[in-house]
Amino acid sequence: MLLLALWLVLTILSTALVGIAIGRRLLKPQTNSYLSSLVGIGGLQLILWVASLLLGGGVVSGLLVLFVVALGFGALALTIWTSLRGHGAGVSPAPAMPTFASTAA
Amino acid sequence: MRVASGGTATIRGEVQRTLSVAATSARLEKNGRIGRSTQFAANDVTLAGQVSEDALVAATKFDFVAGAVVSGKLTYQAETPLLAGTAATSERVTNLVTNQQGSNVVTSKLGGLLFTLLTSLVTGLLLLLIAPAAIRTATDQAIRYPWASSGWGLLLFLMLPVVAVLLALVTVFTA
Repeated sequence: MLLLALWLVLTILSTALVGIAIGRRLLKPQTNSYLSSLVGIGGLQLILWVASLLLGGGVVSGLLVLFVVALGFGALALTIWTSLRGHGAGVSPAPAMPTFASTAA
Repeated sequence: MRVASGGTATIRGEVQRTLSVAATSARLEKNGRIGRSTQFAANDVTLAGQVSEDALVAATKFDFVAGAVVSGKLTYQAETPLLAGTAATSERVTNLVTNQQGSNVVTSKLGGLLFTLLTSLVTGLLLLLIAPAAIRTATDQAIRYPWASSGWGLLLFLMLPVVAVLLALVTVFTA
């Protein structure tokens, strides 16, 4: 049960991460990161929903969800890996009005 | 168990046992009530009465009239189903042709969308609030190396539960 709960959390986390990445790709870097994340996550969920509706929750729809989860999970794992090796994430302070451009600084 | 067959089978009143009907046209009238489960195989099937347990229908035209009640599961295979009466039993209705549950598949999937949308949005915004730099790095990974990320992700996603179960087994049997 604990494993299942952990898996559910990781799935949600991965989907959210991919949504944020899509938002970043779609909108300009100067856009507020919360707004671009809302757009990205909302758009991704809508695409997954329409795909599941059109394909009747079949294999293709399942593979699409699996790809999204795998992409987010992999990105998360690679980030943790590089962070553990001493390069990377979690060192910049949070900006007052964050955008993805400002967090890069 | 009761069996009814013929050109046209009409069921009125109460049948206290399981009822199987094979006919060209079959109809369970509004005042008809089947005390246990039922099976209908006919060209035209109309259910207007009550079925106390499960109902299985195989028909070309299936009319589930408003006010009809199936207390158990309603499973049907029909080319032209008219399901006016499924509001009360939609959770337990299965269409064997499309293998979809309920007459309101879009509504139930919309509920699923709302749940996943809300949880993803809340999770995403919390992540941004807690660790914006880490999220930036992680999304950079996903954008720059999508195939490598998804490959590693898939591998970990499939392997981690196996490893966890193996570890649990080892822990249990060596303790």
